[in-house]
Amino acid sequence: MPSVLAPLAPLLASAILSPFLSRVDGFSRRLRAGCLASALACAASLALMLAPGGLLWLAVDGQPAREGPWFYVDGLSAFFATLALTVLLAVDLYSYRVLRAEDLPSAYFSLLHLMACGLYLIFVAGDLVTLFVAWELMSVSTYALICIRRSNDLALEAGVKYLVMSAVASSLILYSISLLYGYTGTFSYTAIREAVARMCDPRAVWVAVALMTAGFGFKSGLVPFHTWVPDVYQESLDPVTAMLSGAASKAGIYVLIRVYYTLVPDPRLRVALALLSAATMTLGNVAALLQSDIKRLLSYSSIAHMGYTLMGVASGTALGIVAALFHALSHALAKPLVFICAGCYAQAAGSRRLESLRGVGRGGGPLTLSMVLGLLSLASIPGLSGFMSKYMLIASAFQAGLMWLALLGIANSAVGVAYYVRVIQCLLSRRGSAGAGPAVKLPPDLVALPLALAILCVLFGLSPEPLVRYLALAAAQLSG
Amino acid sequence: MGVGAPFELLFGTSLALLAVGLYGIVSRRSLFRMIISLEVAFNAGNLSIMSFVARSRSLDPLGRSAVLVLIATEACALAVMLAYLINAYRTFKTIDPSKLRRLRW
Repeated sequence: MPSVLAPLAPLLASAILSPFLSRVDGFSRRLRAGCLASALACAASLALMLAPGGLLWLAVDGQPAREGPWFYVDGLSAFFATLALTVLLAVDLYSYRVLRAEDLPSAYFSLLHLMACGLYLIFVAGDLVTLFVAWELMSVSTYALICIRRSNDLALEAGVKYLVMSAVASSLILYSISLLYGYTGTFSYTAIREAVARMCDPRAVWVAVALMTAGFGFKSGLVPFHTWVPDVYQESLDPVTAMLSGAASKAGIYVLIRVYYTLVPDPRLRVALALLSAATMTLGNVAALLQSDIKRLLSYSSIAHMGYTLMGVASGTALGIVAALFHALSHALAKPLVFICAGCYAQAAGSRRLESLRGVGRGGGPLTLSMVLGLLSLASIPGLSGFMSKYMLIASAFQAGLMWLALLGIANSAVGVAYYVRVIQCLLSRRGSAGAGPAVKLPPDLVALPLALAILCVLFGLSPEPLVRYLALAAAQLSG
Repeated sequence: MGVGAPFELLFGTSLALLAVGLYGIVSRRSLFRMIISLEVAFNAGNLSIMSFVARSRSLDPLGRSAVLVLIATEACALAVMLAYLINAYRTFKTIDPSKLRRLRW
């Protein structure tokens, strides 16, 4: 049975060793070696998660959560860790195309994999100090990744904004950890849970939970702490944006589920999540309507999807958790897909503005097909995974008696369809400057990547039962 | 208990440090001063953990070692922040974050 640390080993090894690949002669050979080594390491970690007896099977085998001196692994952690590794694999492969266009520091893959190590440790951490250290590992690698392209001043500006906000959030999180330690005398999840259950007046803990929600809300871009998200997503390299929106934003959801279900399982507190969810999805969708830059539009849509996912967490039912996990999965498949495709189109058209992208998708073949499928999945069109997950989210809000939230969710979905369809219309338009130009062509080995993600979107949309059954087991483990 | 200062004093100081740090981040117009305020806010958390350690009869070794780990973690973050500061100054010739306004909406 692979241990909890086993999937971390290939990631860490590749992060430490990949800078040495800069000694390989020739730019393209060096790049190919770096990309191959990173993708192989990531695939090895994924294989260790999926191997018989691996962490992903914890929930299926009906084992209790695995605990140790510093880790706490249950179905929820295993699911999120697998999700993050899948996104990392796609990002590793796609990085090849972006890096071929420009010579970036050899630390690129190293930083990317350190960020993934941080993510993995967040998902398996069993006490608050480990969680904080893992979160800082992820953040510090992200700071460096955002402005890795030195020629881009705007990325530096976005990085400065992110840095300041993220550091404020870290100090709030640290203070809330210290308060929880003060109330309970321990850092470990299970001991805190027991201590909070014993307290006669748990309201003292609410201050700590509020600080923690604000801190992790900052980091995962919930309204009103979202202002850095569009700037950073817009100006980072495409693979970095895909990683941030596909995997890193899920870490915030994971921690909020942990705090509100494992540490302080108090239903009265979840009203705060419902309010955050309503604000986040509404602002994200409305702001996305006004955008003219395709990456900025997609970043606001990321904010909106964080809001939808929180709807399930706020509902507090088992269905809500299952729906939130399912939606995290469909977003983690579709968002990297559309960011990757948008990057290809923007490179072909020489601009990210929607007007200059007119007609650029015509004749794009498999690339355009997967982009359209990804956008339709985000717009939750029936038959794709985004529809199933959002349907379950809204059902869970109704079930929990949050009628207003469910109706707001439906209204927001309608707004969402408007801007996703606008993007599709732009890409396929007959008129336009790029209409006469050459269609985007990816090398055949890279076309497989967006196509694979699109196929997964369709697959989980058409037959969600096995996945939902698995997620139900994970959710049962969480409450039990 | 081998503790010099009472718990209330230590914890009160940590709250005050948090307030000073957050106020500094909001009010200062220089990235450098913001980073110093951030460090003050960080250390508020560390001091708060230490005040709870001092309150416990056993001087909880877990809490004390946690503070050491946290200080090291913050030092890493601080290094990257200073790198950003130098980069921002070289590129924009200013460290006033309110002058960085090209990304809006």
